[in-house]
Amino acid sequence: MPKVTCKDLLRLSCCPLRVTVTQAERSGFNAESQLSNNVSGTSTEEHEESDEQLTLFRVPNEILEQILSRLNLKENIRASAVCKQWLAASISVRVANKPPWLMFFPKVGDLVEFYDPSVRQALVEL
Amino acid sequence: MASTTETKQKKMLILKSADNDEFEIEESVGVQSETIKNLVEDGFTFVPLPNVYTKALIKIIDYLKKHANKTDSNDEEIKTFDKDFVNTTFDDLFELVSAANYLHISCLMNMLCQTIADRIKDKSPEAVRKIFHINCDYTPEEEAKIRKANAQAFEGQFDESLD
Repeated sequence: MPKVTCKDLLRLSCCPLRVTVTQAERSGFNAESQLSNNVSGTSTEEHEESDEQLTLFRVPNEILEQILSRLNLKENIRASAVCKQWLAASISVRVANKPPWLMFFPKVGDLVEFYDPSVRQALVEL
Repeated sequence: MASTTETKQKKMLILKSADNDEFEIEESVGVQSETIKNLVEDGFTFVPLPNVYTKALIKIIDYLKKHANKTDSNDEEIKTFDKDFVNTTFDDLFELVSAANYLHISCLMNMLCQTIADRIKDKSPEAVRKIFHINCDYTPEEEAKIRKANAQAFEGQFDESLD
């Protein structure tokens, strides 16, 4: 029977370990920059503190995202009020209701214009 | 899914939990976990699981055994088993979801995430913080801002219970 150390296992196993807090914070930073002014620092001191905080997160980010992706929009928004980790995770899985396209009747010939208000772009179809 | 009715000798695996307890299971049961499957394919029969504690591992082995014997006839039985399986405390669910994630058991992961989502969806942010043992890191202004921006989502009565 081959002997395997934990280290070997970690190397062999293809499964990603918990996301680091730095990553979590970075995504928080991207998602809501105005709220993350005080978490964007990367000094070693702060990093150590973050590592400690990691163990306090009961649910790592990747799992949290999977949980939050099963909530509807209203529930998702409510979850974002829990803490900054949840805000970042809930925004990353949020699917806002997209507004419907507007259709314009042909001005000339058979060309019909569709307008997507969310990206302010017009599409023309035959 | 591998059948357990194979006549040839069953290959066994030993799983070792984070608190050093060892469990012997059939390979066909274990390979429902992608993590274990990958190790088995690499020739390992001894699988240390440094991220999975005994308590969670016992439940997960139960789950794997049950689901390895899935046939058309015991569908109802498995449904009842699953229902019982997730009928536990939040702390247990968190343990299990971390373990299932580490072990890459997608059907279990789905079930656990759905259960947690269903159980928190009507709760207030305050109740969720208590359940997840989260210290709110918002300043009162930041929290007010989020609530104000989406006031609609915060209207009405919420479930404040912690179970």
